[in-house]
Amino acid sequence: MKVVITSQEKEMNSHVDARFGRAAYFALYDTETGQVDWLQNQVGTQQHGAGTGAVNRLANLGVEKIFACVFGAKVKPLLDELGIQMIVVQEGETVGHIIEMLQDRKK
Amino acid sequence: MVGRPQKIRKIAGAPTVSGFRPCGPRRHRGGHHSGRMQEHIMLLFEEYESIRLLDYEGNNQTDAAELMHVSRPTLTRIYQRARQKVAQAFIEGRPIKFEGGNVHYETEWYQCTSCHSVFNIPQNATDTTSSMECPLCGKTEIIVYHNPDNLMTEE
Amino acid sequence: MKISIASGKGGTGKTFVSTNLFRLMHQHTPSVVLVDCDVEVPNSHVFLETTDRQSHIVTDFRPVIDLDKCRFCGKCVEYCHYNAMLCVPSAHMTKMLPDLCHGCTACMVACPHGAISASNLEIGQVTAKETTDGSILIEGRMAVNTSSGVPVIHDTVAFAEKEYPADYYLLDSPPGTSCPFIQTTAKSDLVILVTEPTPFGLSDLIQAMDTLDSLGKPYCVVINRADMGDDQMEQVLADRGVDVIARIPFSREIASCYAGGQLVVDELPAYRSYFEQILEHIRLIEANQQHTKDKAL
Repeated sequence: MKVVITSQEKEMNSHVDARFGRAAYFALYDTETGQVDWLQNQVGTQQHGAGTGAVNRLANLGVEKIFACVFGAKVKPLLDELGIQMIVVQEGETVGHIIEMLQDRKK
Repeated sequence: MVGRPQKIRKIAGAPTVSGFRPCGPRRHRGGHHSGRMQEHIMLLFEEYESIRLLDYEGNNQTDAAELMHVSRPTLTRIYQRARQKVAQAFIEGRPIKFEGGNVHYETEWYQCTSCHSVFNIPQNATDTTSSMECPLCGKTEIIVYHNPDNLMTEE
Repeated sequence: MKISIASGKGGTGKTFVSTNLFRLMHQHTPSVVLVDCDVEVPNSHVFLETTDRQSHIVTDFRPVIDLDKCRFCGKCVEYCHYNAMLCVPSAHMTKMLPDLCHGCTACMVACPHGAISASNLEIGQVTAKETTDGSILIEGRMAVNTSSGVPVIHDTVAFAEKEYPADYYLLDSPPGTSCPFIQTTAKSDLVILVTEPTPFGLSDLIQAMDTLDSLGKPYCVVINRADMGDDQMEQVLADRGVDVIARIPFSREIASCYAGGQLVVDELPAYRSYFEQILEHIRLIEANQQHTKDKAL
């Protein structure tokens, strides 16, 4: 299963980016293979519709869950309709720690 | 400067079809099949919901407004718009399409008492709170989260 | 000649200046039309006794997607500049987000399968109103639930020019310095910035001036409530070489008159001179602009 964690930088110890649509990076984590891909968020600096642009991209990558600290109000109905789960994590969490918890969960 | 952002309205479920089309040939002469008469009338989900709650379920306006989390005058405005559009579609023989609008589906938010993450359960799931697992840490001590407005930004 | 009355900070007195200037100007040169471009809350009509002459609805394009014809190729998403389209083939979803859509029709043009057709969304209303002294007010009003007033402003000004040709147009601009302000001032020959000598007023005035500078628009300043606040504003304007064409003092009488929906040039003749000053400057600038045009030919 593919999940995304918003990230401020491209490192495992990066903090989760508080924003979703304007997050700097998306850490794409495959729970089966353990692979982590770092996607630069191209819509983050666009003036309009960063949230929908991000949803478009991630939905088309087959992402099933998104971890962030806050979601824009326009994005929730879209993710609901697509059946993509939203998880709001505590600010200060790191990408690495979240991945660790997801790995532990499998066991 | 934009208009005040419209409050997001709750509806209980999506329409079962995406719209309605008139059937049969047009009766009027000179009816060329282009232009305005073929133009869809867009019925917003909140307008659909007002018809569902008032005309189908038989609620009064006060109760319907409460169910939709809007004020009574707003509900009246939505409903009047809905009826006017439906009448227009009937009389002008135009298709109706259900579209857009500021709604969010009634999914609840839950919180893990262990890692404090807050999450939703997407529409297709069938879990109840007791058998639910935290998507992050996997613990099962889950409670219902009562402040979903904190999780959203008005953009 | 098109003259916008704008500000930067809201509440400085744009409508106060534009309605009074309009009344005064109409007495000297009847060929002047007031255009209320503050489409979110048009309030010029409050100060003029008017009857409606004609009105029309402003509509904007919104795409309608036929999922039977849609092949989920994603071209519409590619062409949409505003991220208003969503296409997820695996979920059999192609969707338009009305709040982000700017009605440019690029998606409809881009769709290779004819799956996108047009629908008209009502976004506002334009009304031509006639006052008791025969002058005309064109009022633009945005519909509730519309995300941008810009197309309504465009329609209002275009309608005014087409249906009510006049020598002068006074455009009462929306507050702020973003798209609605730019839409109103973009085709003006002169912008009058109404401000107040406070830190907030100054900071928004600077933004407005910077924006107009980058557009190459000529402007001048009217300082309202000029005897209050500090003198920083005068300093900044002097440094930038900006003309201050009137300094209207704070007056409880003016405030009271305005609050009662009355025009100061009618009710408080002592203050007419400020608006005559403004009018004189407009004439001067008009003459200069004409002179420059003549020279260029």
